[in-house]
Amino acid sequence: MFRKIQLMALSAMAIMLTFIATANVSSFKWFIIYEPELPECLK
Amino acid sequence: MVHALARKLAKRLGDNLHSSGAKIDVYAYGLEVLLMTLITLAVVVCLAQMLGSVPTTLIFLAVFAPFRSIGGGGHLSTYPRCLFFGTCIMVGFGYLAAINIEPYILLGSVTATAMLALYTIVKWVPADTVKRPITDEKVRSRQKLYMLFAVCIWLVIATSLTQYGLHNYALAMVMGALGSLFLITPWGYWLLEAIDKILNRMRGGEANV
Repeated sequence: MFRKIQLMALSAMAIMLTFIATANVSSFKWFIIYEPELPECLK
Repeated sequence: MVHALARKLAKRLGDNLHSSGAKIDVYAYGLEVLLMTLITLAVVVCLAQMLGSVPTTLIFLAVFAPFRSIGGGGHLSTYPRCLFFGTCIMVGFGYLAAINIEPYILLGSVTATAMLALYTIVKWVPADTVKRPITDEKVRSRQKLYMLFAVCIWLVIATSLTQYGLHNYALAMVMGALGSLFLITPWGYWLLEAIDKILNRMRGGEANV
């Protein structure tokens, strides 16, 4: 049961991070004046 | 440091979910952007709280962030430099916006900033970087249009705040616009490059891109 909840939480986090990453590829950063290195698969 | 931490956490997340290497790279990039944004905001809000200028700093950010997101602008080559310089701009301008200003000077500033914004849109928006160049003419025109729309909204709100006597909030909006517009211009790029060059000479580092 705990493992199932943990997996769901981690999956939700992964989806959120993927969304942030893809959203930031197509726009400039909001609050930072530094451009982190883009991963190859997002170029 | 943030890069290494993001990579480590992303690797752990990827291992738990049995993700591919490419997916882990995406998680790491997303986490890096998220952590940098949260750290910057936390430092800015804490310093603004200490200086007693939270409302004006938040209004500054509410203008600076969308203008920069749409219009682009120069970047520094490392995150610690970005954190230091970005915090100075955000907290400094937020604090300065708390000064007393005559309504007619404020209205003049709003008008002058709006004209400067229009010139910047025509001439330099979107201000891209070597890491993320924008060459597609359609995309460039769309960004100009979005920026024009943002400036129109900004002008309506800044003028309304001036009319309702909320001069400090209107001044914070003017400063937010001026700060982001400056970083779009070649002088903004020049300043960030100069900061990078000076710090590179002092400590060593990569070139500004």
